[in-house]
Amino acid sequence: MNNLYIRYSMFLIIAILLQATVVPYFTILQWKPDLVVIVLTAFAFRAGANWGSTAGFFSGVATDLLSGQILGLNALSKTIAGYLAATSSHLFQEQGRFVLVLLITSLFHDLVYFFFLTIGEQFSMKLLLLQLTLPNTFYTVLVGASIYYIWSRWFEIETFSA
Amino acid sequence: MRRLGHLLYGKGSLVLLSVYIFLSFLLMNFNQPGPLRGIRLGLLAAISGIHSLQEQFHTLHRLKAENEALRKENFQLKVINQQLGEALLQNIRLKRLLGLKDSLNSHFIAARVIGRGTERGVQSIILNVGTIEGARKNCPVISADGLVGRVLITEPHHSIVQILMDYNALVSARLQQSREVGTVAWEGNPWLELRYIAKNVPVSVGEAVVTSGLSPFYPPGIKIGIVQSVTENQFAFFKDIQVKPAVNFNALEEVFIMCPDSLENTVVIRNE
Repeated sequence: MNNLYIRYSMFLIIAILLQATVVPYFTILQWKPDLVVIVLTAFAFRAGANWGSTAGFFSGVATDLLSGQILGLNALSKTIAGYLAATSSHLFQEQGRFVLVLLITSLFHDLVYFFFLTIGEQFSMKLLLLQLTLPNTFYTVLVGASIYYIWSRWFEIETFSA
Repeated sequence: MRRLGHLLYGKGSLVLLSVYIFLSFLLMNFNQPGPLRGIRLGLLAAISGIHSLQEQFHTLHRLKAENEALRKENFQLKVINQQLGEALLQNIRLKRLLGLKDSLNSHFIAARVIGRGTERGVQSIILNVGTIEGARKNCPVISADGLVGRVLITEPHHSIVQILMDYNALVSARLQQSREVGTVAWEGNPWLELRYIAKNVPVSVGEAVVTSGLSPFYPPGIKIGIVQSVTENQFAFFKDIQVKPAVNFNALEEVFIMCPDSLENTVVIRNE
């Protein structure tokens, strides 16, 4: 087993635990960042679509189990997020690529997640986009970009490069 | 061939994605399947453990801050308590002084001892009142316990008082029981001497010695001290009488200046 997979598996587990324990303290109104999506994007970025969707599915199941939400909801959204992170990584140039990929990944993840979460209720595109998806995406990208910046500065390595 | 491989690889990932999406929907349809319930319980137990740790950390942090605050408060309260204790003692002393003032039916200027005199050859204390407050030269100074001395030097806001334990301080005194008159003086000992009491005068240890009233400075009846010991020398005309001063000169804090010229029925108090 490659060192990369073990390392990122550990990161994912830590992110899942932090998401369930620490992140709720950083909730602004109803919005909070998704650390699992950030780590998943970084992993899929380097490991490819197969591993990205696999990691997305299992981390999603784990998140579902911890969150007490509908089982499979996070699994679905994170599977798609993992796949998208891997496939969209080739669309951008090197400079700031991770942040752009994270933006797409997080946006689709939140769209899928909130769409299935609110399905059956009075559906409103405005609510879905403006109140749920975009603020959460923005928060996640902000946190992800900060972590990326700090991480690459401290370790002076291109950690998330493909 | 390479292109086909790439396509298959791409399709492979799509197939895998489809499988996972299918599984996700399956999970959504069959919510809470049996085997996952155990995993969920395990994960929730782990989260609960982390929460518990967090809670303990917060509690410890809060307790530390609380402990710090309580320590600070405790220290402040101790200081306040000490100050209150001092105020209580001062209150008791002042009450005694006021009681003495009433009994002497005289006019007084209350003063605080602010230092020891620096005049060479003169044992003195410095008071925080002076001529502005009504202090005059030669006015007697008393405390709640008895006679302290007399005012030697006056300044606008300060006075220097010659205490009884000075070589030049002589006070006309009277033994309280026999009413014999002598002179109290100091000779450098921890006690005072009562001179000129004839050998045939009975003097008992513990007898009070008070001012006689024959001196132009001191009114009668102010306690000077008590007889500590009485000895007789066969070659001397008088008894050697040691008098223990009524006043502890090292612990003086508040005194009264008895001035005939001071304002009537007024006690001037100056606290600095």
